[in-house]
Amino acid sequence: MPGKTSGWAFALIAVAALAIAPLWLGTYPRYVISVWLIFALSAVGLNIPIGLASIYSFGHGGFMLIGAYATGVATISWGWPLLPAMLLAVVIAIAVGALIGLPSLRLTGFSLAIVTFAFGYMLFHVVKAFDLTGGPQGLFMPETALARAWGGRPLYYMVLAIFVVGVFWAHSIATGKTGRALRTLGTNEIVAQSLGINLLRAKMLSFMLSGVYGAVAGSLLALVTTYVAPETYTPELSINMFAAVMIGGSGTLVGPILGALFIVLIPELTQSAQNLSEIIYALIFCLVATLFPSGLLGMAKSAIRRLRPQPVPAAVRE
Amino acid sequence: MLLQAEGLRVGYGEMMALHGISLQAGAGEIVAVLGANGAGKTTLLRTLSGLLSARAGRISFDGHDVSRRPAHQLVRLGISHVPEGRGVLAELTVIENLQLGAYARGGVRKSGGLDRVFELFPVLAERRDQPAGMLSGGEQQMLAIGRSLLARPKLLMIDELSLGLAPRIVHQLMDLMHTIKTEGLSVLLVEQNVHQTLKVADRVYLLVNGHIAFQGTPDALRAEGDLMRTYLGTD
Repeated sequence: MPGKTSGWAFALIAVAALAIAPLWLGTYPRYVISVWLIFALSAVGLNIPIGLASIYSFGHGGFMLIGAYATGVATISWGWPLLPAMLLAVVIAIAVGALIGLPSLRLTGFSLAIVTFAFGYMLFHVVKAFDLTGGPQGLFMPETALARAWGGRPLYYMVLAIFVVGVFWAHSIATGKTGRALRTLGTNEIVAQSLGINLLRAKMLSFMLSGVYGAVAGSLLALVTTYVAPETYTPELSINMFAAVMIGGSGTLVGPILGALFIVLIPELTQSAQNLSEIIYALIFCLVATLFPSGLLGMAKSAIRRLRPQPVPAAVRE
Repeated sequence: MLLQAEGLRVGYGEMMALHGISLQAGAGEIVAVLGANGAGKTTLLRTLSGLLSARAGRISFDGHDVSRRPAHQLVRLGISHVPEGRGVLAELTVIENLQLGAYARGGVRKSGGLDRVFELFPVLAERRDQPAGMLSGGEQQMLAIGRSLLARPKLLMIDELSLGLAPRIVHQLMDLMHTIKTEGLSVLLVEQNVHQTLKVADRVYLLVNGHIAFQGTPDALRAEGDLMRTYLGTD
């Protein structure tokens, strides 16, 4: 396993590369990277309930929908500036996250997964049904100054900055008191309670935190794609986000980011296959999930381990 | 009395596991609950620590009525429960497990106590950055006890302290119970290991099919040859 210093060095190089790249890159690759970073941010947030607390949420697309639509409605219909609109999105997501967290004490595993799925499904139909949210057509976002100036690079940098902050925050959550509490209840609820962890509060918190990530990601996605369409936020999005976390490697920091690259890049790369594109995507999906059950990150780690001669553990004990 | 339970009736669905149990533990006392598998020992501990709620009866702890309090609140009042199977988090390091112990006390720094735990169990200090899953069974039990001590309990309840451990380790841990007791802590042990337990306990309860079949001192129980043979399988 790479040491802590090499992890930070890797993160620094990756961020530097992402910061320098758009100076040369054209509009399309920049767009793809932005979308990747947005989905990665969302997946990093979804990793909080899934990877830490072992709570399987199939409604994460619902939070992204809240982010996108709250930003869209507030800026277009009410004429709010961008920042308050994004804040509104976050506040709504926190409230909804708390609401979804409520049944998590009584329901476990599959039953809770179904509730989260139904939540995403319901929101998808709600935004299609009302005029305020643009009905089936959705909302066209006005072009912001961020996207106009300097070929849209300011928007790219905003996405990158929020992504970096989000990843750092997730890292401090995962390694701090909240992360330890969530990992404990994810492993053994009896132990968690006997250590003084309030299960309901911790589970609700995990949904609220993932909601914040989802909403910010949805908000950014609306800005980058300049279009808020119900079709973007179908239950399929929730499943893709779940897949991103699992395929990348749940419970890790880098895993969901890798997984997001997978769900963004593969459809882009297979686009030329037209009708077959979705089928190829699904096939690759099945293959990766079957061959690397511990995720892409787990695969990379075991490959590195195989290449590097391993020192024999100092003490192999009983 | 620090802990006082009266007439506890607890069940799972249709089945009753405890039929009116009354039990007491005073400050600085080691109380043991003995009994065969399925006698209701674990159910009793879980009820006392708030993980299960009783259908009837009441529990008071340190002057509070805690009959309806959830487990996470009882930890703050001073009940710490080492669950059956230790519940050490294998993927977390030793120090991370210990930090979890102080969760209810606002972290290890506020809880203090970490030095004391390392003093009681030097091996935990040596292995502080290793995943807990790498520890031996005895070391894991030490970690589980150390973790519970960091919650600064007034009453430490341990479910099967001796389970799966070598006699030497059991002996060492029983000695430790004695040390803890002299510092004013109360200990409630749920055990199958009769001999080792009777050596350290001040008072013993014998649980048979959800009833209390005996209560008294270890010497008094030893004198009850029939009970010892029938329910504890000893001669």
